[in-house]
Amino acid sequence: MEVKQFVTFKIDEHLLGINILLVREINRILDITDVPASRDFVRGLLNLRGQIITVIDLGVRLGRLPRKVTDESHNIILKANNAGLLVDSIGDVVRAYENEIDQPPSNTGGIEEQLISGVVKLKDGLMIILNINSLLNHL
Amino acid sequence: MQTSDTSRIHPLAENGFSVAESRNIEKLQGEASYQSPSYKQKPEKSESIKINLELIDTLMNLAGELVLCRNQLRRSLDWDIEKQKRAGHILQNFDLVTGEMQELIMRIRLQPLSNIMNKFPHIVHELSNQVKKEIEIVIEGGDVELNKSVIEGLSDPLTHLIRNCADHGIEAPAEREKHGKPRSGRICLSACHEGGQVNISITDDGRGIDVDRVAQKVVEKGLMSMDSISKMSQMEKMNLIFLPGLSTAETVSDISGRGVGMDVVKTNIERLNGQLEIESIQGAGTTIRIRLPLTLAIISSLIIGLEKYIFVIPQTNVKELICIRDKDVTRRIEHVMGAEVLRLRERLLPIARLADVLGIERTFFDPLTGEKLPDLRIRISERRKKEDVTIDNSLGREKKALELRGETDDRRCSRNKDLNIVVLSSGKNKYGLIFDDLFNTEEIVVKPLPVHVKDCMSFAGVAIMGDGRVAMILDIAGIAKAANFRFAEVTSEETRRIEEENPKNEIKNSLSVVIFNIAPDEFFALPLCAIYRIEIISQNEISQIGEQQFIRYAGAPLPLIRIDKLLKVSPLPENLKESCVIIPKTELQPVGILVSEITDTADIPVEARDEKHIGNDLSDSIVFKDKMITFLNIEKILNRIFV
Repeated sequence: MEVKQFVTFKIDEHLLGINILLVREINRILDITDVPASRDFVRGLLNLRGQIITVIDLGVRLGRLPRKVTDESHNIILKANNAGLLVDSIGDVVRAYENEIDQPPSNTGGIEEQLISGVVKLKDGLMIILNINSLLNHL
Repeated sequence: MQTSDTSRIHPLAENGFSVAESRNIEKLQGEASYQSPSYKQKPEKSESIKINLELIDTLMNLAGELVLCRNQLRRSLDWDIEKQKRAGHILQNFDLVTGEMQELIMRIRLQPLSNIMNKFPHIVHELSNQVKKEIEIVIEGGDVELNKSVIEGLSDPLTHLIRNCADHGIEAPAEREKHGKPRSGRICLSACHEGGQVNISITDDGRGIDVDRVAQKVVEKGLMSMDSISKMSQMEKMNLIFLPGLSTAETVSDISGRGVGMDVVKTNIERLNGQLEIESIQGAGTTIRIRLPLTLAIISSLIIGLEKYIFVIPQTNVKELICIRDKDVTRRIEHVMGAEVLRLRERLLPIARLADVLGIERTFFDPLTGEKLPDLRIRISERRKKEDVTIDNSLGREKKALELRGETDDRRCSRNKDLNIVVLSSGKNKYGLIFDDLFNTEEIVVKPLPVHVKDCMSFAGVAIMGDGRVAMILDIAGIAKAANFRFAEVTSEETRRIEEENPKNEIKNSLSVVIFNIAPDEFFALPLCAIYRIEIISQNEISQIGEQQFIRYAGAPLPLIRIDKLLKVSPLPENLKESCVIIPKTELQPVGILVSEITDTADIPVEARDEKHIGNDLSDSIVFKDKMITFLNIEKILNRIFV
């Protein structure tokens, strides 16, 4: 049975996860340049060692309010698309066997259904696994 | 060349860190060209090796990063370099080496245009056989070098344009003879450097573009309605050939006529950050001009600020910077049907506010609470105008109240209210853009616009600044579009006017003069070449000793001349806060001429001065553009004073 690892993070009270293989790095470069007249979920651009990364406000992307930058805020830089996600806080890396991942329930009101690729039941709650492809594709 | 190169590398080696580096390079070279023979043995033969493009790209990126690092280092050391002379020298050296390295690495990617141009004689020869025309092609400037990727991207558009010339442009020999042209048509393909850009032009002496037929075709194909086309100027109609799906050729041939063409050429050129212009005289030929940036990676640019944002404008687009003093804003900025224009040297320049174009909210600091609040005044100038009117009509008490309010008004705006305008050009079009703060010029590394912000047409790319921050590069053409400027008409109007103003030959025999006031509405002129400097001074800088006035200039007292004391002209207004001092070039003792305001510069035809004029030996007057202008004879005036 294959074990998958997930980077977990929080948006408001929700615990979300991304497959660790999709993540390039996690950082706290919060010197993000705002792009006027861009779409609302584009938080801005940052310079990652000479590469321009588009930071997406995951809050807005998931249909919530723009994130406020706090001491806990982090950018999750993805390997694909030179994109990064601004999240409220970073959690542990969670390991899960494939059969532990459930299909997303059909009544996920808060978040668009196609953005979720599964749910993992943890001891103290649920972790929602984001579908990065559809998250970036719809931009 | 060779020797100078090595001598520049030496100081690096002395610093002691280049040895390992150079070994690495040798290793790289060794890997790339396996067991390449030592270059010392055969210096006479120019050798080349095949290098993976990816390697060069990485090297380019690293060079870019190195330039960034240098800028960061320079900035952080700037303030204590005074104390550390040695560090200054090292930094200067470092500067030089990085600069040169960057240039060389850029040059690796440069290739001569002849690589693609050389195939055109062959293509044209084949084409001329195919279409049974006599065509010759002249190629100039094949040695102009461009980035390899640009060269590759140019190949298709150029081929297309040449085919167009051969198929559509050049007429059949019989037709040419009928019009009194030589039997064989001529296509000229030339390239040259011009101020950081490469200009490529393709000229044919064929039949030119029939603008009305293009318009007619557009309507026939249903691409646009008759209505919208009838409103267009000739220039705009000409640009219709860039519409997708258009062809004016009667028949579809192997060569052209399928209607996929000019639009693809245009998008291809624009993808290379180039600009495409077309000029055509019916019956005499067509010229297509392509302007390309020399390099795509590092450009020198102007850094400006607006609210909390920082923007970058490529230096090649910047024509001039204008600062309009707070008090002059209402006078200089005028409105035409709600659009703002600036009177710049007797031309109207359309202007846009960057904040409005980008939809940035204006803010100001509340003087009482220090809070940042949105500024509800949309156009400061308009509001001022209204206030002025009320002051005029109001009674004393109200006036006082308004004045008081005006005072708080001044304080509440933390920002300097002088208006900064940058005059930009894209192609032949010019417009002004209002912004807040002017910073500096800087070499920036250009990165392409990320996918997620591609839809913002106001930006051309992303810049990484010297301090590592990211800033958006403004797209000059995109902003013009976003601000709804309609240039084609303006341009044609402009050309008409220029032609009217300068009936050809006159241009050569003109004299550049500076026009100024002493009293309002009395105009004086001095040739520009006779002026050394113009200084703006405030009234309290003038000190008086008896009849003579002085200012401090370059550490010494400079006597001032009052023209109104020499000639019978109206005196300088008493209550001026600021005035100008013109310092003429002279071999006698330096003096300043006190005037109230510099109003303009102009090119005045020399003949105008020979015509009837009134005057004495100190001055003579002419009428130019409905104004009476008095020329001062500066030599005689100075002689009169000193002798």
